Amino acid sequence: MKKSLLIGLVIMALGLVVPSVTDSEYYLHLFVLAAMFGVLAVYWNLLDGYLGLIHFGYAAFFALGAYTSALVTTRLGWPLLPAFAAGGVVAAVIGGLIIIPCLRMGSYATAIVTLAFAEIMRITATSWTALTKGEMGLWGIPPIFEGAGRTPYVYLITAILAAAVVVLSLIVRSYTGLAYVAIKDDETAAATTGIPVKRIKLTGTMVSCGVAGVVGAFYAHYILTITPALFGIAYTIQIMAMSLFGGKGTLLGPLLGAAVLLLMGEGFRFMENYRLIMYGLVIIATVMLFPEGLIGVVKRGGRLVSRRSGS
Amino acid sequence: MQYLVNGLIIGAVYAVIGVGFTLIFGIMQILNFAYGELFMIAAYLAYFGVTVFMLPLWLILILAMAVMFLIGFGIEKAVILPVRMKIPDWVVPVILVTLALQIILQNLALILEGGNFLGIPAYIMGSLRVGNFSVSYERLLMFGICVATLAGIWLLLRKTKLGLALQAVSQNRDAAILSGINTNTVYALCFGLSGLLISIPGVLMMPHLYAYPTVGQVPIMKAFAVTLFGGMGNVAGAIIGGFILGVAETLAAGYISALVKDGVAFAVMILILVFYPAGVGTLLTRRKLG
Repeated sequence: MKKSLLIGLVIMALGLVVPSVTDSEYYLHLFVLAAMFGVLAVYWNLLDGYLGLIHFGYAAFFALGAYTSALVTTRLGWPLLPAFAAGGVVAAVIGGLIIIPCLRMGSYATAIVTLAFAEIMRITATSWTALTKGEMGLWGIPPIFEGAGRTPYVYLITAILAAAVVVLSLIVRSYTGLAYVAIKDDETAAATTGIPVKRIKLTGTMVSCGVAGVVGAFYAHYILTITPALFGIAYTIQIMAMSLFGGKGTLLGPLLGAAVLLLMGEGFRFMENYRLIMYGLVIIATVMLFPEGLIGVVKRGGRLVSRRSGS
Repeated sequence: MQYLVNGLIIGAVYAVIGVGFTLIFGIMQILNFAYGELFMIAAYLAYFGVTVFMLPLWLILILAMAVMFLIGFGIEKAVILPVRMKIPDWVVPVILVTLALQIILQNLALILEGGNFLGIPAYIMGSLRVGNFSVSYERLLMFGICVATLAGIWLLLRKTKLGLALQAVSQNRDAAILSGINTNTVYALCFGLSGLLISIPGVLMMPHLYAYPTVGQVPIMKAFAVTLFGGMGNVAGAIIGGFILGVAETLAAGYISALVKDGVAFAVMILILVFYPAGVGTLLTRRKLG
């Protein structure tokens, strides 16, 4: 309880400090992106790291939230708050519906159903031009903060990130969270002790997809143009890499992974064309040195420090 | 009828793509995200084979198969083996490494060749006409080569010592080690074989696609679909899955519209998975048992 609030406070503090340290639009934009991908990586990891569901269509629910919110604001003139909620609810409901048939399949069948579903949605978004304007993309989406620069967006996404992390850490530490951990360790054993595995997987997926939908809505009203490419597997793979790189099945690992990978991608910009090659090489090196992910480095460092101070 | 024939032809190509992908999963339990990039390399090889060296198709195919076998083998030995040696629980780390390889190979291609779409004309002109439907000779050849490849890989898995070793490792890694199989060699050969298999569609599809750094995205989606659909690591399932995907796609493109073809194919796949969650490959095994 205390620990999760502390994590939330640290994130909030970071969000408050960043805009006062730098007023470069570029760095603030990077921070917003890192926080956004942080939320996505953390909640993707809820599925893969805790519930054993390999979700290959995660970006589609992010895109679904973005499109829902963009459409209800531009077409129906909804205010932003209900539009955000609509994005989350639509993503949660559809995410739940698509996972129901998966619950009786193996984990790799789940991977294909979610992947196939994401592709169907991408194709629908591309070809249903009357609604989505197809490849042209939707534009003219109302911004959250009219003409106010990037600072308020930094505050907002930090608040979303902090809330998302605190809620997840509360869930993981609650009674339901114990069930998550039990499922993660041994699904069959969890089922035999009377844990309703399927129901927990379903609600967990709905929460995860709903959060992706809300983040998607934020994205739509931040970037202001969205295209069907958002549904594509490239984004899911990016989220997945952040999550695995940071540390699978840990709370803060994916957050760390998102921040480091995103900043690293930008940090190597001086190498021009070679920067993504460098990026790939760093991932390989990290995997070899720290197989548990980045969070393993932090934990090991922490243990070293506490041992020193103890003796 | 025309659609069915076209579907079967493209299905044979998908089956080869799927088998190369499923082999690695069956034997190492990993998803090789760099698989599409091997296709990309083969496409570039075909491009240079035709435009720079002006080689005939059969020679390009053989050279590409040899080169891609060595590349696959080399990737395992140089990058994946060290990870496996260092980390006891290596499945997730290796998947992450293949993701990194994907990024590296794509960007190497971008630096070396630029982002241009490089195309070549058809290998063979003309088409075979029977009654009111026609098939181009090139597609017929593609079908023949792919079916021969599938037959070849089937024989390799069933009849040779290497095939038995591959099967043994996929069934039980520890037991295979105990019975004297060198798993490291098996893994490297498996990657090599996978590279060899993907080089065939990579070369043959060249006149229909282009060679560009991210061309691998096309085959890897098909590989995922076919593999997962047939049952992970199930070679027979991947072959059946390839044909079903090819036919479903072509029928959807023919009767509905080319735009929705991928969507329909995926919808069919979801439906079948709802009824046969472990993939269609299990139908075969089940019949054998019954």
